[in-house]
Amino acid sequence: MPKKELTGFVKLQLTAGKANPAPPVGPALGQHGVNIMQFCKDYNAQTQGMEGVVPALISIYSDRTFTFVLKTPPASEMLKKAAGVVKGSGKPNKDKVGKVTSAQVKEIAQTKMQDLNAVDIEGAIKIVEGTARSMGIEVSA
Amino acid sequence: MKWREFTVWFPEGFRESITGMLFDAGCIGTQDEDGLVRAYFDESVPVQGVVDSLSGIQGVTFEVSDMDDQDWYASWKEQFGPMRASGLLICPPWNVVDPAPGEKLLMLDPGQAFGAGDHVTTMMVLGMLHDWAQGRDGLAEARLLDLGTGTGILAIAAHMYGVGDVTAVDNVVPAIETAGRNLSLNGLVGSIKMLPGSIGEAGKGYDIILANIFQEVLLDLMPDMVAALKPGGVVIVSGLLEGQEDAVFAAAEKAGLRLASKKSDCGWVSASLGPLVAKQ
Repeated sequence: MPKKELTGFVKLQLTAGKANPAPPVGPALGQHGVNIMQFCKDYNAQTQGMEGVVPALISIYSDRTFTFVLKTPPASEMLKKAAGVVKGSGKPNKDKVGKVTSAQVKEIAQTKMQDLNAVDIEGAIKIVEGTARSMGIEVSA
Repeated sequence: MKWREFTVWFPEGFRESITGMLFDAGCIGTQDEDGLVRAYFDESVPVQGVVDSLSGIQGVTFEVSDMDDQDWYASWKEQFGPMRASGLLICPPWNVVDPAPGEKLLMLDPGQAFGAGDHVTTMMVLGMLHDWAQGRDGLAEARLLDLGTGTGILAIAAHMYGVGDVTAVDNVVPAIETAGRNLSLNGLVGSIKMLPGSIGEAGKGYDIILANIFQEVLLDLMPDMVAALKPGGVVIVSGLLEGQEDAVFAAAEKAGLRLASKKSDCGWVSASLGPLVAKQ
């Protein structure tokens, strides 16, 4: 049997257990001829019991089959959890909604390291700190 | 129009914060691409706050467009062809071939519902249902419930295997619409009861219940499924990833159903539970 060829990747960020054919799933996968409902069933089964946003990196092959892996939740989700807040600030420069410690930021950076576009842990920490600032979450020592 | 699409371009390092802000504002999901993110909002969600927030971030540009519901399945449908499973020839209406002797033709337009027949969980339930039905006495009087029917494939297959009284429910409106179209394609309107809702709407007294859903829902519904069975009835469960099945089997046993048989394929598990022993 000839080896099937990888034709592309699609990265989606979806709420755990709630994938459905609406955007972004429908337009993102439909254009590749992927069975959209099959992805939804697989994603929802794998993310049931999880909370919040769980990204999926989907590999699509020449025969329109697919595989996917789940990635780490967005840093913003982890920061909200660490700070004990439901959402970030709409005016992050003026209104602060919570605090995290630099140890928590480092822990998040270590967890996210594999999925961030950072060359080392210091770079990952800077990205997480920037995300915290943009959400109105202060980082204390 | 049903959705608003935000396409946001940003400098390196901004993805996490931009995405977090979009989800906080009510975004239903995003697609990440190099240097940009596409974020989608239901049309009922106010997005002026998103526009204001994005406008205030240096180096970020964005576009907003409206998006209608579309046939995102068109490309997949092109290659959805006939397939054979458990005595059935399953064909989309745009690609019908003649069944082999002894095979039954099941016409299926998957629409926007689960159950095109090509998923291993559906295949396994079809096999178990076929085994249950074959050579069974009183099949024409048997009552079957298909929980979470999706395209209606299992309910239609049950009717074709000879089950006399088939009811199908789904709490997703597009699924019921798709299933209704498939009944029509197979000339079965009026032969199968198709109801919006869940087990509460389906009544009781079933010989067999099919539930190709997923673990969380199966655990929730197990007591109600058992209550809806006749003595001697069975439940066929599917949609379980390997490792998820033991909790469902334990819940079934607690409710009065023992594991009878189990199949696994490609990381998925299906099982037949029962028969239900009459309570003394």
